[in-house]
Amino acid sequence: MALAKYTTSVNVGSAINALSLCQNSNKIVVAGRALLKIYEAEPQNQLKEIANLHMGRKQGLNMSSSDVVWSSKDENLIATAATNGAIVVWDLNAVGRNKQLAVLSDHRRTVTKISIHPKESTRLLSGSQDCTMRMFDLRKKESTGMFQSKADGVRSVEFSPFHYFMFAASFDNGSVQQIWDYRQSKTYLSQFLAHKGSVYTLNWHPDEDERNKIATGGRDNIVKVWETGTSHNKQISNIPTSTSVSAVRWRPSHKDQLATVSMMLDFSVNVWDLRRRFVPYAYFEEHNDVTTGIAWKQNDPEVLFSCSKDGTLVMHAMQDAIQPWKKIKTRGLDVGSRGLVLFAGEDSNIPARAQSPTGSGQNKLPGLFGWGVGNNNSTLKTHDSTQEINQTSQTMDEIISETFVDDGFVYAAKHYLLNGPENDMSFRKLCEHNSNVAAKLGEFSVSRVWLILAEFYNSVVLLKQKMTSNFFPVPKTCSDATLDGTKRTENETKRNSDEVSSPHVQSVDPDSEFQSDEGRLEQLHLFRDEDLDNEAIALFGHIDAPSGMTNDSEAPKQKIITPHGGRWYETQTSTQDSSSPPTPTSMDQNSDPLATGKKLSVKPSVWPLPLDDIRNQTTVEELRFVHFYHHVNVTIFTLTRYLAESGDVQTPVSILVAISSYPTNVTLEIPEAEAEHWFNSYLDLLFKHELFVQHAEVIKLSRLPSIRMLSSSSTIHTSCKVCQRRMPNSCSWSCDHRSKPDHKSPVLCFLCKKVVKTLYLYCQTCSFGGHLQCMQSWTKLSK
Amino acid sequence: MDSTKDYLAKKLNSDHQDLIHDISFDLFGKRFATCSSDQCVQVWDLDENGDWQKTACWKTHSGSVWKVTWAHPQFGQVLATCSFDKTACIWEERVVENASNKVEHIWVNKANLVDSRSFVKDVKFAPKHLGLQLATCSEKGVVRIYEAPDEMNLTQWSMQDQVECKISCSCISWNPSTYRYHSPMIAVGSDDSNSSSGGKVFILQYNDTVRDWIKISTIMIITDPVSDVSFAPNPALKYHRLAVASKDLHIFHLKPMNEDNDPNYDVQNTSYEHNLQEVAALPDHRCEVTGLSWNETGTGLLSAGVDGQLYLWKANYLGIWKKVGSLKGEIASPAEPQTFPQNNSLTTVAINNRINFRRFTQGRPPPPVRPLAPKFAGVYY
Repeated sequence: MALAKYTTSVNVGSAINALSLCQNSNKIVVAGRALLKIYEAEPQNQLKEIANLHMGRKQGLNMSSSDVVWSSKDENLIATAATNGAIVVWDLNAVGRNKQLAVLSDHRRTVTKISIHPKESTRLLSGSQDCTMRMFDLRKKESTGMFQSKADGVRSVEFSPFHYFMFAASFDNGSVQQIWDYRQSKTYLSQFLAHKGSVYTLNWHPDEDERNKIATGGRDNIVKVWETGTSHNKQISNIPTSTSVSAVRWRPSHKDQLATVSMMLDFSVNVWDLRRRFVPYAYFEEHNDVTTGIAWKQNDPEVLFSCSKDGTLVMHAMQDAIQPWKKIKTRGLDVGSRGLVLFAGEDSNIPARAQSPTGSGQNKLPGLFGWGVGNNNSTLKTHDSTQEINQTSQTMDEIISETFVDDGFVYAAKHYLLNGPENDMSFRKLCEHNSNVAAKLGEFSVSRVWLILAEFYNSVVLLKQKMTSNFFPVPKTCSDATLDGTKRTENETKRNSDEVSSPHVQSVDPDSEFQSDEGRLEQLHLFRDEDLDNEAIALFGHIDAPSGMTNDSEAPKQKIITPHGGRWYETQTSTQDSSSPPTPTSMDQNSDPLATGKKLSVKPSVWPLPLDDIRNQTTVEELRFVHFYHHVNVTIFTLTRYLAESGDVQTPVSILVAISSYPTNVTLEIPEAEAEHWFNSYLDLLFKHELFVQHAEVIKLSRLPSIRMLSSSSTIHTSCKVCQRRMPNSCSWSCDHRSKPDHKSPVLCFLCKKVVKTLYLYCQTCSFGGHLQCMQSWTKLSK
Repeated sequence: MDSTKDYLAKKLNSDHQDLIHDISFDLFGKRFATCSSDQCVQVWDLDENGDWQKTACWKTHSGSVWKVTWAHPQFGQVLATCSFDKTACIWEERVVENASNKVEHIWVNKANLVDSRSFVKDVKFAPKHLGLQLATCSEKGVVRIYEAPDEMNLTQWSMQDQVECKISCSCISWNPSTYRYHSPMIAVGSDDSNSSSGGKVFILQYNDTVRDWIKISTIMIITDPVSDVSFAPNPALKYHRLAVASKDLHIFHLKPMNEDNDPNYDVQNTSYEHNLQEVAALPDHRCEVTGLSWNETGTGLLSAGVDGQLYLWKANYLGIWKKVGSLKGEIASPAEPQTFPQNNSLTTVAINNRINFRRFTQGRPPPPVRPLAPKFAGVYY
């Protein structure tokens, strides 16, 4: 890891349990299980090992240090606390083995923490797992006092830097923190419940003005700041951190900041600011294992030392810290489906609340702002300010500054009629109705689309007859439509009557039809194949039937291939102008390249014999009809695709559904996947607007198997009315906890609140249900 | 249509004690959730009178909650949150009646996703046709995809995949397309402030043949930190529309391509190659853009600047994106989270540096559409 300029680290060789700084902070002692080394911070931002006290082979448990402390006055005096209960005092000036000045073995269990009095450098206090704290005089090398905690193992002890006789201690059974006056060893001055679980650490505030403040950290992941006093101790702030806190150290000369490290999971050193309790003011991420100790440099609040189980001692510089709050730039912003805009930002008007535990007055508290975009939103009342959208003067802008959120969508979805037969409407009427709906919304182009659609599929017969081909209206039927029905044979009449009796059977063709229309089918397939070719060549192409086609003229095929991305109205124009001579194009790949540009005289090679067959069997009108309807289908397809791509999926789907609601096989050659995509998008939108009736109708009328499938879901998810738990996989209407008293109530109808004894009808989605009659009347009512 | 458009602003007083980082509407727009640095999430519901009522507020994480997002209601009332504490959480609502017959909304923690080794910066549910899936991105640049195999069991989440983006990620967005030949796609934005680390927006796509998420492209022209990305809900098949909030607001079209590079190619096969086009670069905010939200049809975009200014954008019939409205919240001028007084000066400098000189005037033609790279190729065998 590339370290920043002023942050320096050194690997000491083995895991470090504790560190301590000497008086002027340029020497650091680190202690571990088999480690006691002294480093010096050099001016060049380097850490240099200057002494290794862990020498020789004869090392006892005394050497396994859990804590280390440097004397406050004497630069050559340090003390280590061992896990076996011994406290070892070292004299750095001595030579060899004599360095070990004294071993104080008064504690019977692990010494967790030692502290040296800030003024009397020979007064040492220790806290141990044996539930006692002992005072030592390092000159006498013996214990001078013992303090019974009457609680549990001692986790931390610390002399107050400003109250000469006071120290604080925290305990394992937690919850208790005691303040002692060391002159009276019988009992403590006060105690209070600090944390849930062990209180691992405490630290007196280093600032004289804040001399009564103690920060504690514990297993409950919270750092608390206490104002201690003789009469009562009160919590004045807390910082919720993410993991249990193993060490807390106030930052010198920043009265609201403190650094913490965690006992597990989180390896970083966090610096917190009490004025903003939830986001670390800064953090350091140099360590790869649990950080065990931290210490601020006494005379320099910009430097922090930390040691870790990964064996590194790091000198952090505050300027290298990662400051997450600086990176927070996200603003809450969302647009709801009702056109409501919500935005979060600081609010200058809300006064900082006095009761806020931080007591700081500078915080700008967050406010939420809502806008009803669009004019019809009554949910938001004018509260603060009414703001007008900046209307621009240009016409183009006015076109696009129609509503940001489609208010028309819901109206159109509700008022479009999609199921013609059910409403006893002809297709033309249906289209006209929908056109009116669109016109009311100001969607004139959509309105026009519906009218065009009505013109194209005008013929009632077309939409009522059953078609033989999957792709085109069968010529026979078409001829029925165009030629006043005189050629209608008996056979076809019969077929029609068959169809009336079963109007919804659409796809299965009786064999007889195949035989009677064999020739035409062949021809139609020819069309179809060619079309697939066209599809491959270009996005769409369409065949233009020349107007002057007579019986004896060859039928030249003309393709106008509009380049991809062409506007639908272009196509439409060309459709309407189909009587005019077709424009030559250079992209007709089927024609002879030499003849390009003189199409009318060219007989395309793909257009051989079958046409003659057709000519024998069908009339020219029929052929023209086929041409025309193929044309129309392509046009409508292009149109719907254009609309869908411009973001309006409602119109295409409504068109498809409206057409398919009639018993017909007019099928736009829309790839199934694409249509499915439109349907899904539209259904999602309907669902979003809670238009469930329309949602169901679209599913019902859709011809796509994958869409129709949506209404025939067979998975039933139910939950118990009382306890909201999932029903077990049995067939009963009671859950596993039915023996409990509040589950005893029988199954009630949600509508009439009476007991349902027989048939229980329910919604698969919400599991509400009841009597059949009730549900029926309810659906009628709420339709 | 009314010509006068009144944008009515209402202030809701949340009790959050620190910055609100994210707001998320549910599908129906009838409730929303907010999350904040105070480690809490609040849920607000629309009552019968059309007022927003806070129905729940609970502590979700032991760190700042960066993002909150709703699952599709077909999976129940489910929220996902992600946090500074390196986890993402799934919450489900349980409505109970308490002793005094009042309805209480209790949000139950269903799962904690603890795989991340660094902050989880964003979490998003997949569009509903992909099932109950979830993507998270982390500070260390890892995108993780989770799936709940049983939609009824929110406690079980298995990590499907993990993609390394190398630089710190800040935001994520699923492509909502339901077209069957569009394989699932995710855009990831990075807030890495080092402009030399290259493009800041990555496109990940699920590759059906190798059954893996693969980084298919990087938007190289965006080198400023990105604070939000968002795919437009768009039923069009030919391209995906992606908005990127960086120093400026960018809109891209991502066109699937076939092997022949044929622009007229009909999207009938799953394509893993995409042609990227910048269709708009909108510097109007003149400060960092921090939030994005599309309207439901994908035709309008709302963006928020760091100064609290909101702009509405729409494309005209030529596909040129224009500003159609602006909103301004009552926001104290430097919108930077400003709590540590000793850093006042630094912040203002930062804001001054961010002033944008590329002004976009009304009459000027739009920035030319530049094809970025012809082919974001990749071999996935």
